[in-house]
Amino acid sequence: MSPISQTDNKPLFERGPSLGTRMVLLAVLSVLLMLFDHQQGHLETVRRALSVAVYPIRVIVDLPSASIGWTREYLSERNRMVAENRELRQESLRQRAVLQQMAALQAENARLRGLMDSPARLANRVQVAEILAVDLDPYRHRVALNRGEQAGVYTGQALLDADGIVGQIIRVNPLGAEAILISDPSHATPVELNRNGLRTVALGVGDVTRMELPFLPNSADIRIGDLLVSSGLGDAFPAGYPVARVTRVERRPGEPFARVEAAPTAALNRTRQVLLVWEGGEAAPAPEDGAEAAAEPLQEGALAPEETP
Amino acid sequence: MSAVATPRTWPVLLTLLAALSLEVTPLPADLAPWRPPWLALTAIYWALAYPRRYGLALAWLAGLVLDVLKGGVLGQHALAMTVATWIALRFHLRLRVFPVWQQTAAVVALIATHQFLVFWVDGVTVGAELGWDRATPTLAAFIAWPILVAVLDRLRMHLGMRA
Repeated sequence: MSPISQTDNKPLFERGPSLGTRMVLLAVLSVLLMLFDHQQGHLETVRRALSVAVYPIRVIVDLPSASIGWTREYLSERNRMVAENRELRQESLRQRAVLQQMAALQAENARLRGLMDSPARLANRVQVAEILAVDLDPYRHRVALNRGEQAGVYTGQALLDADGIVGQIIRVNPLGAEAILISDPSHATPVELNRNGLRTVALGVGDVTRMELPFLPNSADIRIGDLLVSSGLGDAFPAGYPVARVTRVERRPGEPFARVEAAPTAALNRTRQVLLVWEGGEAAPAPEDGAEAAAEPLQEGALAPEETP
Repeated sequence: MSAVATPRTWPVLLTLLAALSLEVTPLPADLAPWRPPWLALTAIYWALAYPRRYGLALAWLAGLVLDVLKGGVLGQHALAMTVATWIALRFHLRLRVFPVWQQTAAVVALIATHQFLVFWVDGVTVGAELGWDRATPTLAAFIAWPILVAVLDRLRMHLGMRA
């Protein structure tokens, strides 16, 4: 008998529960886990502990695509970098010009709100987070982020990119977080038409280029090309950020509701970096320091996230 | 749990960890539905080639880790992995001596069971609908199984792990 088969051999007579018994036990345990996790959500501590354990796997899987980015930056030619730098400077200048106007507008808005005796709108603060290049469940639209509890991320927090709303956080771990995209079939975004303030709900359908607005009557004043912005109702998303643009309006005389579809403005399947929004960090800026306060939320890193109320 | 501490466990653990990474490695959007269920295939391989008492518990635990990794309902993949590995362990003496194509067909049938359980739980919890994209991982397993067997057999022979 070789030494390998000595160490490796199986017992001739098995002791303990039989294979079938163990299978049934484990299956019952799985079903119990599912019940407790799905119905009551009691297992957050188990999930948190395991998620810390799986975070290294996510980071390792993300490494190749992250390192491709670094290498590309490192190896790119000098004149291309210079050109890119120049472009970015010009872009920054343009945006600063827009921001100057924004400061004036904010001041005006604050004055008008003061005249109307309505409460001042709160400014939002943002922080950049990176989407890990990790494919989660293929049948749901979820992403994993590299910011978690230590960065002050909380469940329900809104996620933006440069063009609009991306989704919201559904689960926070000590090191990372998981977010649901607005295109997930189980997600609904409260929106309003930017043109006339008509409020409705945009549902995800499991397609990153399409959303449905099923609750609009045939007589609704809506046209192709209308911009939908977040309404701020439901306390899920801050108000006034672009969500989608209407791509199809079909009025059906025999049906109670029209068929309306829209395309999300955010690049849902292409963004690598997203902005996490802390709503209402401080009150709307006074007219004098408006320019500073307007520029401040865009700084990255320097923002110490506050506890949310 | 003392069986888990035997020296011959680490190749099993490492390959399961590699399979877990492959489960979430980013793929182009067109290819993503064709991702083979690497973790289930690896667990079935070890159940056939190196059956041990801890095999079932390990498969269950790997499934639980996959649930957390993919952000699904806890227990979903754990259940599917347990059932698939149980069938593999139950018939490992027969499946092991099958010719490659016949073994592949049997394993694909196992994967179909596994995928059905995953879909079933999805249907109960989030109301998923049956579509063609539910069948593609099973078809991908057809191609993935012979490759996996070739790679893991070499590893196993190299390490002298006899069944």
